[in-house]
Amino acid sequence: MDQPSRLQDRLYHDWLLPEEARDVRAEVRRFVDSEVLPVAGELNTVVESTAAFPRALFERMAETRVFGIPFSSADGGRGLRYPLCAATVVMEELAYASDGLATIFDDHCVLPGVALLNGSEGLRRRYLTPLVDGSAVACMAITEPDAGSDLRPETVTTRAESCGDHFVLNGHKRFITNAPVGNFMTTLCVADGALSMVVVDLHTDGVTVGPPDLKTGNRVQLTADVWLQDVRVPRENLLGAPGDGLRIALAALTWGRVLVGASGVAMAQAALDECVHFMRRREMFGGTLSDSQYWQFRLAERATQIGIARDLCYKAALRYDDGVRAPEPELAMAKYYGTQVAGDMARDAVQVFGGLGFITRLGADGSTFRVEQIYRDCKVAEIYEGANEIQKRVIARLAFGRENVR
Amino acid sequence: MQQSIERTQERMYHALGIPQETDEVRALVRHFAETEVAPQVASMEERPEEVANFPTNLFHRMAQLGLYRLPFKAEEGGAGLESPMLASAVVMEELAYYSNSIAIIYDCQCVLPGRVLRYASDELRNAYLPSLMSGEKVACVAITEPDAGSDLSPSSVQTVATPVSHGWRLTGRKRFIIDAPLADFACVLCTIEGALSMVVVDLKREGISVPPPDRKMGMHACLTADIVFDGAHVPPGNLVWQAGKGLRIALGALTCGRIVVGASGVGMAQAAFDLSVHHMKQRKMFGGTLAAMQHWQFKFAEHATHIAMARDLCYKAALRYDAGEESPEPETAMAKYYGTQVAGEVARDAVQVMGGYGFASRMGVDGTVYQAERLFRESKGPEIYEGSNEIQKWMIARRMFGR
Repeated sequence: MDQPSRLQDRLYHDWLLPEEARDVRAEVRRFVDSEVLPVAGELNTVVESTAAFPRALFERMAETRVFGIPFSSADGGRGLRYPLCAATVVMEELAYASDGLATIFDDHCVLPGVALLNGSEGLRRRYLTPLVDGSAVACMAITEPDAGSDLRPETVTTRAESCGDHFVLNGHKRFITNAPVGNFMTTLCVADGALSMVVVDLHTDGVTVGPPDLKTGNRVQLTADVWLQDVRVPRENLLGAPGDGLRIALAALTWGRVLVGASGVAMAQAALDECVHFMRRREMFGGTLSDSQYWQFRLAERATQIGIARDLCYKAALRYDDGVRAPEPELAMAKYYGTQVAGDMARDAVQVFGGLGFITRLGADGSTFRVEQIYRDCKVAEIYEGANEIQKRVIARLAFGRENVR
Repeated sequence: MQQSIERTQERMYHALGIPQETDEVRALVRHFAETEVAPQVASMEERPEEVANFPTNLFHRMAQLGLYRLPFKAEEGGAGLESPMLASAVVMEELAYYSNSIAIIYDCQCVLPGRVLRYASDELRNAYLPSLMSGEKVACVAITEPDAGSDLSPSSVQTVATPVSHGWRLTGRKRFIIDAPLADFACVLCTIEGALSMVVVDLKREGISVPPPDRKMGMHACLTADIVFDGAHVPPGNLVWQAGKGLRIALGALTCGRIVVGASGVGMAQAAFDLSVHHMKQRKMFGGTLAAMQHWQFKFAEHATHIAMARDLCYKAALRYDAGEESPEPETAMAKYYGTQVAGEVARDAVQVMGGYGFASRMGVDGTVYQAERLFRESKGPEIYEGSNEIQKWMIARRMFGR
């Protein structure tokens, strides 16, 4: 099927976004149109394995200095005035073609990268520099088998025992993106009794990475368990001070939440564009599917929701880039609403495409269908980087007061 | 579906007006589903769509258990039930609880073709019904085409049966036909001299080819493919009823199909619900369990209500049909769209409630299989096939406002 035209510029106006971020959008969109969209079908239907990691595209993103977007020139980055706006744009543009690829950007470059900003000069040279130039693949390791939303010293079982000039880590992380191909991970653990963030080289003795999980979607996003058994980590690999772990994780997730909200917006936009393209060509009942008032009005609603979700994302990002480090409630709203719209739109999109919407690869001619991929990819965005329920809790606490919301 | 997951249905739903006969069918199918289907689901759903991967053993076990006889009268070799439509609805519900692939195989083997053949002459019916009921032959129903899904009119249906000296010569292409890669015969909607008609076609003959199966979002154990007719011969006796009755026959078959597909939605919704309740009671966080969260308590209370209403609609439609109402509307349209919609909604929340585990199909660490995402994928199909949910709403609206 030929590429649908992008409706975004007709249905939405980027009035919030600074010119610098619009330039990034144009740059990344060109990259996506010429290098990602043509291989999206393959990227989004592959089965998880280390061989499935999109190494060539990862290197192209490094080459084009996409990994430098969040960072200052001193750290080898682009030194942008509005780095979170720009990173959000990157996420949105990548996710339009492949949410799996977008997640690699988020989980390699943004989450660990932002965490590393808490590191010493030396630590940043050792880890942030190769992260930005793409010579290392990074991971953010927070989640454990029994600790997802509830992160406290009592629930996080990965422990770092102090032993003079190093820590000895023992523990178990789960669903760690990029771990099967990763070089290092910024790891949430309990050190000196308090949640702390430590950089762990994945090739250190005692680190075991499990095989990739098989998932519903986001297939090129490889996740796995990571075990730490008496892993020695130099003390200088501690980011910030002991006890800073949750603050650092949440600061990284401040970036992550906007990005994930924007990935939702992008998936919804891609699904909408596919629908309109298809509906105008699908003949039935003496006209086309686009004559159906039911679908006209339903998609009008979705276009509205996509527009407001996008506004929320960029409003949160702008407030952050202007100095508000916890831009609530827009941040929580952007994350939950953007991802929810994607889920709602994806479900409608599969329905619009009828039988074709349920097809991964058509037997007759090998065609793949973007809306089928989006349906499978979008669900996880409502779950990770702060489940949508947690986002609602944040908003409720702001409304009712922390003392009234458990 | 792990056997250790508690079924909440008996606690959350009470059936009224269901004959004992139906309870017996339910018990039989539930036992089969729990002991024979459930253990195979993970492996059969992980394999890509290929003829070699078709769950042949389960297809034959359903035949052995007499399931394909349930829609039919005793005098034609069927089970001779008083409420056959209700029985089929319950079969679909119980099978779909574990596998919508197996459920749809049941539908496409006996419910749809069975209803088509009800319009056929005795001779035509007797030529196909026995082997359909015994499972000796695999049946299918071929209505959809690449350019004809919801809109089945003589101008949109491109499969044409041209009269020849002894019957017809069939040309055209059907799409998404369940069981086509293995079927022995198909009930095919086509046009004869411009009028929609239904013919029965033996598939293992010249002028018919079936390309490789489609790879789908879900229901991998169920095989769909195109069927290409290139001058296939149809003998004169294989026209069902008369030329020009094709749409009426197709819609008659889909009346039955819609009721049972609505019921399959109820089965999937119940499975997603039970998985969620089980998980929420166990998953600890914030000093309690997920089940202690009022947000989720109330959401699932709503889901329980929707599942109960969907089930009631399906059974009511089925009971009206069994009482002699050939076209039990609006309940049939309501049952189909509502039952399948509920499945999609509960499945989406099941994935959410299970968090990362909801998005995993098989954990790399230890191979544990999680079912929620399978239900999330499976539940999308029934909202589309056998009369898309928009067509169901169109039917209800027409009844309200007048054609």
